[in-house]
Amino acid sequence: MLKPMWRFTPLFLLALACGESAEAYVWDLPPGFPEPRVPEDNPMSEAKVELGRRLFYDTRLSGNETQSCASCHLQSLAFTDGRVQGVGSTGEVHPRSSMSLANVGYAATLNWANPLIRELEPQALGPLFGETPVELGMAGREDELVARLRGELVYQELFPEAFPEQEDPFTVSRVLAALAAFQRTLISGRSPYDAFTNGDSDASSESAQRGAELFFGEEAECFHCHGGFNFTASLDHSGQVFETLSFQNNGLYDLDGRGLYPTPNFGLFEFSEDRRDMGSFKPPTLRNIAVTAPYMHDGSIATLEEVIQHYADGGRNVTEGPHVGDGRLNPNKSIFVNGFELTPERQADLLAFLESLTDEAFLTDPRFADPWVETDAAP
Amino acid sequence: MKTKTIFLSLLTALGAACGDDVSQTTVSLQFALTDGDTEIGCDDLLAGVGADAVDLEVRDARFYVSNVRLVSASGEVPVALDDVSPFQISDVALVDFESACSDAGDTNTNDVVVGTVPEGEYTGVRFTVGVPFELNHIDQVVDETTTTPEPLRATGMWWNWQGGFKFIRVDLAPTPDSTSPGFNIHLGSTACMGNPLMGEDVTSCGNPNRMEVELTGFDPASDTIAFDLRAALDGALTNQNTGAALGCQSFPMDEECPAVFDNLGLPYGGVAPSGPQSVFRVR
Repeated sequence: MLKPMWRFTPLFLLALACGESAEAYVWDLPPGFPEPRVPEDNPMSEAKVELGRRLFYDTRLSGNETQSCASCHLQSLAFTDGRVQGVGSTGEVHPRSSMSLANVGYAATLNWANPLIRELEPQALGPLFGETPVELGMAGREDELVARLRGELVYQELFPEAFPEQEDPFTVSRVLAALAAFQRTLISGRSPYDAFTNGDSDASSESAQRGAELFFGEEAECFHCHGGFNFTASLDHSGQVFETLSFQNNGLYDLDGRGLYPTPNFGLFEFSEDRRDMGSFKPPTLRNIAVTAPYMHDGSIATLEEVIQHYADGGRNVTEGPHVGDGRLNPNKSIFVNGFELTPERQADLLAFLESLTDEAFLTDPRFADPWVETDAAP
Repeated sequence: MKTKTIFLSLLTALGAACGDDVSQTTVSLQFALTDGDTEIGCDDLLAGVGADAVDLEVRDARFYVSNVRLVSASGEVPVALDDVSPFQISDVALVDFESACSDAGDTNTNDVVVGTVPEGEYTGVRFTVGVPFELNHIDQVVDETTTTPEPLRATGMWWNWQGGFKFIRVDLAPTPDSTSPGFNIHLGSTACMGNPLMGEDVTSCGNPNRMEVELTGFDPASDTIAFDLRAALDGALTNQNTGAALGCQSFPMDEECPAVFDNLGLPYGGVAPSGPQSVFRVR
């Protein structure tokens, strides 16, 4: 009987010392992962994360109430949608492919090539209010959005819990804050590859180990753009002094011999208008890459085998259709996309390595699943 | 009120000191949306517009006005914009002809810009169409706790993708038997970059795209400033959509843009405009 008492006392004292201040948020980080960078004005809390999850899966966030964030970001597909290009709530086709949200809290920039959007809070404005293309279609309807949320019983509890210091927590900015908090918890780092590097020698096949050697070697050179714990050079976390932005051209197209990409997917050029940035996109994380087909910013490569072939070829020579041109000769192409010798064995090894980055626990983690289903099923 | 009184007394004192008493007067600049010389509004038809002479209907027409000046024989004077909720603050005003015919709009409209100038014989007006740089790249969040000024809270004017606001928003939908896909004009600053190494916000824009308007033969007491959609579309390829952005939305290398930018008196794709803007005029 005494033991529990002793255990509780220090906690009790702590609570007294801290008064009513919120408890520090406890991250569930895989071994070796740093904490994501969290904006000072949007600290993490369990209530906020839960609110964010509710909102992420709530179709009231679209104008016609047909789509939520999860419509284009499915957990089972590492929060991509399996489509070549995304489709918005009004049926408008997005020019680009839905991006994985795995480890999105560590991304230096969001979206495929937008250097202006660096934090998840403003990022959510794009899909919510953007009109070119229309995604969730809420432009001009912010009052309606807030009114819809205000009417939900779950939110009447969760909004004040998540934002206790606010007199009226029902605002668009709180929606953005909660969505960002939830997305920062979408951390994936428990793949067989991680288990292997953390000492479980049975976690990775011989083939995957050979693939890893090739991946991190100077012949295939994959790691230059897809290195580090998140397998991308576009990285930001709490311990980093400078964000590392990265936008690279991997030789998919060259329509005019001067590096032109098919409209409207010009990559970083859209923002810099510097021709050298034409066709430069962010190297996405390769974690869970085996479940996020099709690939590239425009979904133009269907399988991982073909992606490997693309890099072995040093780019893509398009010989028919509207995008004819030899991307291998694109003047803006990354110096690391030079091609390498690909044997069937090497192809299989690289594939095995990339497949070993699939984190099943992440894809099925109930903390990231649709919470409204649970509510409906509850007695 | 208090501030204004003090401001006026100071001015009077100053004027007295110089032996030149200048009293202030209110000026109300009247705007109108037009098809040529005809005033139009939401849902109205624009018959046979652009190089392809297509039929389009007005779904949205809004723009920001800043840096307003009146011109007299002795030069120009700035118009101190009144702080009038919700359409204008001292730095910028939203002129809004959209009256709920757009999904992204509402019933509120505004066709005047109100301010104060020294009394005088004014014969011209100058203004910038656009949001000043210092305001254009603020956090765009609707929230009573933030400092986002009211005219900048219209999400339909947000341009999150480019980290700024649309300076002009004109949405034109095809009529049922029109072959046109429709035509939008969304003008705003592009090629905006910060210092990537420092993770900074926008520090400059390669294409500010702020329109400079100068109208002569203008009597602020009786004349109207027309925003002529037919003139905006003059020569524009209104029967096609080559980029992903419908019409001209300031996106680089869009075939629908050169004519529109020329009409707005702005450079596009490194090509200087052939002359000053031809879209705003005295009516």
